This record gives sequence, structure tokens and C-alpha cells, in this order.
Amino acid sequence: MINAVAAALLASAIVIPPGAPNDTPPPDHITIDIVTINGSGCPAGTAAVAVSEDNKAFTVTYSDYLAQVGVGAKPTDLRKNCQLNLRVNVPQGFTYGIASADYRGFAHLEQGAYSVQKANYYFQGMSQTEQISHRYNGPVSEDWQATDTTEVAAIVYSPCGEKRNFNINTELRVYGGTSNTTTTTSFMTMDSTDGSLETTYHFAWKHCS
Amino acid sequence: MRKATAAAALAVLFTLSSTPAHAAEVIPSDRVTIDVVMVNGSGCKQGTAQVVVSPDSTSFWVIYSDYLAQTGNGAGPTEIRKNCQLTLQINSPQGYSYGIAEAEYAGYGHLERGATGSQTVNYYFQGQSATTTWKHSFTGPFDDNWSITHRTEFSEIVWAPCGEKRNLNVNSSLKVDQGTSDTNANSFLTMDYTRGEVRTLHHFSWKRC
Repeated sequence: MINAVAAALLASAIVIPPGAPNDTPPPDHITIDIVTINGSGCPAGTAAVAVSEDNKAFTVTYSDYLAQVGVGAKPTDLRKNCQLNLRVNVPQGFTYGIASADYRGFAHLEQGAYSVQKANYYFQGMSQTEQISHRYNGPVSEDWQATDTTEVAAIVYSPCGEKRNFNINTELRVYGGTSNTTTTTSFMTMDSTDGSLETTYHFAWKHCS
Repeated sequence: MRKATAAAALAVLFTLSSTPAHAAEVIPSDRVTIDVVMVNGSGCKQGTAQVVVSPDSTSFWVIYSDYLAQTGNGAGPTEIRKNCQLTLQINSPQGYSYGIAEAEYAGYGHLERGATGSQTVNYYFQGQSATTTWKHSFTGPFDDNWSITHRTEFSEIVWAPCGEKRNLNVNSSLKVDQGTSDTNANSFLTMDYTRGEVRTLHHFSWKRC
């Protein structure tokens, strides 16, 4: 699928008039290199990813990320997850930035049912794992959107910067609660995840030779 | 499908273009163009959507074979809502551009008396939380083709000497609600195609790339 996106970009490259030779991206901010995806909510062939031109943002779309309880649902359908592994380039020096993620989808929850959208953030080199969750209560049958922001900081001694992993494990859970799950179905989908890494400040202490 | 789509887009570029392929490289960059980067969602799963891009990259079609939301007889509980997200790369030339962007959504609807439906489109730029929503409602009894056009003017100033590329996400969805209709009957909405177009009416450039 990464290939596929590359192919799509290749297709677009053909119609774009060539500009000046591509400048190498400025080495003073964090950039996103590769995103790999896997999980029960995003099995092979159901998720697609696009990284922005400036390598600061990405979009993942899903075709089958749906958690459900009630009529037609298997017991294990109540929880689905999708883990995004980002390879990011961190410049040398001290870098501080804000990672933000927007989650969008649809929720149909019967009266008494509720759902939770959760994300765990782990940035290699930072000890703590951050977890942010959002709860939705039925009755509801509409689109939802949630935004998380988390700080990232890195100290890199290697003069040419280094590549680090940034993992985001997303999760949807649906609970029947007091709703009647023998006659109704409650479900929640995720349509897309958007992430961006904005470098707030950066101190360099040596030149990359 | 991503690969196939890109290949299809390429095929269209090469076969439908009246000018030789290499001429595509000299299209003057004085207008806004679009590339379809990604198509994915519960209403456009892998292998069910086709993308056709015009030779000048100012318009495209996405044609669906399985974009259907339904309720009632024969419908699964989670089939009441389907979505398809398009990730479009918008290529804006440097300078000042003014024009019209247009999107058309078309399909068929069959809604029993007492049932309702809606077609919703969320537009947002990659990595940004702000979302613009357009919603159109249908009321049963309804049994006909439908078509909805969204038209918006754009005017923008791009200072980047080589122009700017940004991803625009267009998430469309169809939803049906059984309401008070007969549960032995079936109500559904389909989307047959989405057409997008940008027409640049004025462009002033102030520097060379």
C-alpha cells in the first residue's frame, strides 16, 4: 500500500510541471518518513495512507474500522484497534514540538449504550506513554471528531540527526450498557486519522558535515 | 486498488490526452490543478471505486460500484451509514489565484414513507481540525435519482516561489434512518459517482520559480 501511494504520487508527478530542483527539506524540524499500519481495525487492504509534501502531516483512511455490540455483532467486535508506526527524522540538537492527531468517524449508539475512542502515544526516547480517551454516550447517530495533542521532545547528539519511532495505537470500544443488545445494535466507526508534527523550537549545537 | 487507480489515472493521461505525453510537462503552472491521491472508506472498499482524471488535471471522476447505505428488510444493522474519503492534492501556483471549485455527488435513492436519509460531506485540509460540513436531507417516500452540487469560490495568495501543494480531504457519507417506515420494506441510498473540478478564472504571478 505504501507502494501504491508512491505510485499515485508518481502519477501526479507526471502532470506537475517540474519546478526548481527539489531543495532538501530544512533539517531543523521533525519530519515524517514512513507510516506503517496494522491492527484488527485495519487489516491488510483496508487502510490507506498519504504523507503531506512537506512531511509534517499524514492522513490514514479506513474502510473497515468498526466496533459493535448487539444484533449481528460477534462478542469480539466490541473492540477494534489500529496501530500506526511512524518513522520520523529528528534533527540533531534539542527539539521540542507538538504532535496532534484528529480522529473522525461515525457513531450510532442506542439509548444506554456508550463508546470510547482511545489513543496511546509513544515517542521513542521519551519514557512515558501518553493515553488520551474520549467517551460518547447514546442515544446518538452522527459523525464525531476528536483532537489530541501531545508534546514531543528529543535530544539528538548524532550530527546528522537520527530516525526515531513514533507509535500511535488507536482503539474503538463499544459498550452495550443499559441498552437492549438483543434487539438493537450500537456501533462506532473511524473514517480517518490525521496526524501532524509541528516543531515549536529547535536548538542545534553542531553542524552536520 | 491504489496501484490500479494510479495505473488507471496514468492510462487516462496517456490515452485521452490529445497531446504527446511529454507535453504534459510543459503545462503552464498558472492554474490550480488536482490529483487524486487516495480513495478509501466503507462505501469504496478496495476494488470498488475507479478514478478518472482529465488530461489537464483540473477535473476528476470517482465512480463507485458498491456505495450503498440501507435499512430494513435484508439490511445489516451497521449498513445504515457508508462513507468514502477522497484525499486530493491541490496544486496551487505561486501568485494570486481566483476561481471556482465544484463538486457533484450523484446517485439513486429509494426511501419508504416514514424513512429519511441524508448525504453529508466533510471537507478539511490534512492535519487541520477545522472541518466544513455540507448536509442534504431526503424524506420518504422518495424513489429517484439524486444529484447535489457544492460550489465555492476560492481566492488565495501563494508566496512559495514554486507554488504550494496541500492535501484536501473530502469525506462523503450516506445515511438512512428507518424512522416509522414498515420494517418489512427496505430503504436505501446509493452514490454512483463524485465529480470534482477547479476552474481558475484569474491568476497573477509575481515571480519566477
